[in-house]
Amino acid sequence: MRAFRYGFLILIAALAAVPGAGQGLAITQIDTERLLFGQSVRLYLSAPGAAGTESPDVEVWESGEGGEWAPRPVTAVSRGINDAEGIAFFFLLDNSGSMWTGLDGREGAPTEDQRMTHAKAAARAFLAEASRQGRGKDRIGLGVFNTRYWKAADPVGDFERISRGLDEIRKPATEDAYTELYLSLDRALADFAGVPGRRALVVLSDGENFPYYIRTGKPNPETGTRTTGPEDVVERAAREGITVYVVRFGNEKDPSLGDAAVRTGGKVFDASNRDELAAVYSTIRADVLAEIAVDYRAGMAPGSRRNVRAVLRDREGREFSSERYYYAGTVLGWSRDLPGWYYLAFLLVPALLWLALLVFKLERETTEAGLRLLYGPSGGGTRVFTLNSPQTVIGSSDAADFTIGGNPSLKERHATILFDERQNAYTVVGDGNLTVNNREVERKRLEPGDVINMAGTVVVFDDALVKKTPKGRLPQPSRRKSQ
Amino acid sequence: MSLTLKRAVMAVLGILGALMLWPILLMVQRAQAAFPSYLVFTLSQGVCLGLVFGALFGSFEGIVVSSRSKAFRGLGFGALFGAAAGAAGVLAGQLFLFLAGGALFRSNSSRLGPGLAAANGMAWAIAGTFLAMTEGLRARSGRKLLVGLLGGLAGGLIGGAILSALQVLAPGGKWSLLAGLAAFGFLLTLFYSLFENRFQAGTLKLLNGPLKGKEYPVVSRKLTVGTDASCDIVLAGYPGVRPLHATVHLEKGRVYIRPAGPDAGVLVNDGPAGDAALRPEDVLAAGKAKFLYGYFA
Repeated sequence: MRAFRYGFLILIAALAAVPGAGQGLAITQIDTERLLFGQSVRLYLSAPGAAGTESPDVEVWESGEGGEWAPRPVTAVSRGINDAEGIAFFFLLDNSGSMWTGLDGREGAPTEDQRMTHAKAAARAFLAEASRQGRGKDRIGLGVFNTRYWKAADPVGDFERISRGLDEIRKPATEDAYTELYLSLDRALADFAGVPGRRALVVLSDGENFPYYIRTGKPNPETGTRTTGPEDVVERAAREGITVYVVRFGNEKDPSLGDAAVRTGGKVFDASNRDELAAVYSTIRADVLAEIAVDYRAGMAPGSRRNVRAVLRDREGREFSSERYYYAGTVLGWSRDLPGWYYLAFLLVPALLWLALLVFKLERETTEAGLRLLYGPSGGGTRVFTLNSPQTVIGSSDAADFTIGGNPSLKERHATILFDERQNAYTVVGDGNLTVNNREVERKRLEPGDVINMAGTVVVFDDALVKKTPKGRLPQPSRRKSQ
Repeated sequence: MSLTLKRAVMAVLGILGALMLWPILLMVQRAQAAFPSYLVFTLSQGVCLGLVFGALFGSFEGIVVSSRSKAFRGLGFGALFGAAAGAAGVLAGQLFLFLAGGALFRSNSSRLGPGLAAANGMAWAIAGTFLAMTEGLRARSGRKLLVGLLGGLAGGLIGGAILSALQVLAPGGKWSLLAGLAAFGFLLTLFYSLFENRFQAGTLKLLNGPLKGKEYPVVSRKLTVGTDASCDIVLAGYPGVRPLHATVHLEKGRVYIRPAGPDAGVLVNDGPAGDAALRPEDVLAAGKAKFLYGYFA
């Protein structure tokens, strides 16, 4: 009997849906999860126009940034998607002063006649229905607004929390009793946007937008001087893929709210008591459940914004269409640049530079004997001293042949390198605190690469590894100094 | 070659790669609409990116040690590994970008906002990491993989951030792609060499002969030394060095040198190479070649 009564009321509610609300089509969500590996995009369509059609006639068109529209092949049209995956609802409940009057708007009505009592009862009926039919997959959230906006709960599967949230709604003080409709709707949309899956926001209001700041001239305690209108709300809802359903409760109706709902793909309903309200909620749920999923093969137009348009024809041949966009940016960007000759230069010049790097040796082989300061107390350096006399004195003194400063432990004449012309060999001689290759020596014949450490000052002896001919000429005596 | 010069060469290779890659990518991107799917498009660009950068980075060792055969072999190997790594990296980056971009695009009013730029930078970092890890895969060295991971991540992230910042400032601009690629190539190599330096267990510096001054950081578990071009340290032109003369081992952070045969002359401080680990300032000899082991700034 009860079921019959609800069925009847649903029919009434559907009829009560404001004319024009049956826009027919809205892309409520775009799923690009399979774009990269399957080249496939899924559109969720709210299509009251196709209600009852077994296989609706849907076309999909795409355009890139500023490009032309091109048809895309539709690969699958399916129903029952939202039933399988569950729906997220967000109830936004008006808690302005007038919600605490009687159904006819009279002040001082007994509690059980007040609009808020009816609204709460209808919401509880919906909670019961969703937990019966949603198989635990539906989630419901709750927000309440007047001058202020209060999010009682994010969408959760635990409806007890929502029920407790309803319990907590109290009659507001006069200052708080304004109907901050669009700002609150905007904030609710922002709160709802992060929730995954199919999202439907149901806003119940019994009056017109009555913003605190505009009416009082004082900044709203929560939003200050910010204002917003139906345009912004529609835009945000479309961007986030949230469908807004509007329930107008009572006699006063906001002039733009219904139109805004329709433009988000939702509908607008009128209700005047708890039973009608409950029926409206059932209708909304049935509506969302009736949505279609359309899979199609995506195009490859360049650009990060891809516009997509769905076109649906009903049995009478009426055409409905809806547009949205999705992200199609690529890691390495995009280009419409015509190839020019300079492209070739960009390919060739680096290639030649690379070859040059390969051919050009970055180092030179040693051809003459010398000493290179590797490091010492005064730090490293690239000082090089060429050995070209029979005897070379290394020390801290200015009178030394190779003078190295900055090391107080270095003796004035710390070591001497002797050149034996007949054997074409160099020998280092010192009388203490001298190592070659980390071994203490007083005298050692040097080989290329030997490391001579004189009290912490380290030099490397170097010479050609392969001597071509013994030097026939006498080394020219010369002195070089370096500090 | 001093470390600074080495880094400079590496950075030059990174920038050369960017210059060559730029027209290639522009041509591929111009043909985007002709590609059958994002998968093919993404893989193609990834292969191009990996091929060019991989080939150039692969030739780095050869250039540094002035070995043409090593450079060309590295070029080939690098191109091959790089193509695979680039494809995988760009694909992973694109996957990330689609997921992150899709989510940001939905809830972000400015469609080229900072969030999207960050996602793009992250995607580049993923691609860069794959690219930088090829050397570790090729050398089968865990440490080099780690160097690649960190260097690629840091360089890719910053380079990618610069690239996407430039693309935000001039969307779809070809010059911003060029500048971004150059920054990417430069930073990738810079961070790679910084981390290579950080993870090295000392460096062998050649003291004499034709390759005097070259520095070989000890990063992987095993380095081969010899005249053969396949060695890690190629000592061409040094008398008394065998094709495979010695091996340098890195075990638990300590470095050892071992002769490759009983009669290969390997000396440590003019004495036979024992079982002791090398200490900084040790002088090693392999044939006539002499190295100084240590940490050089």
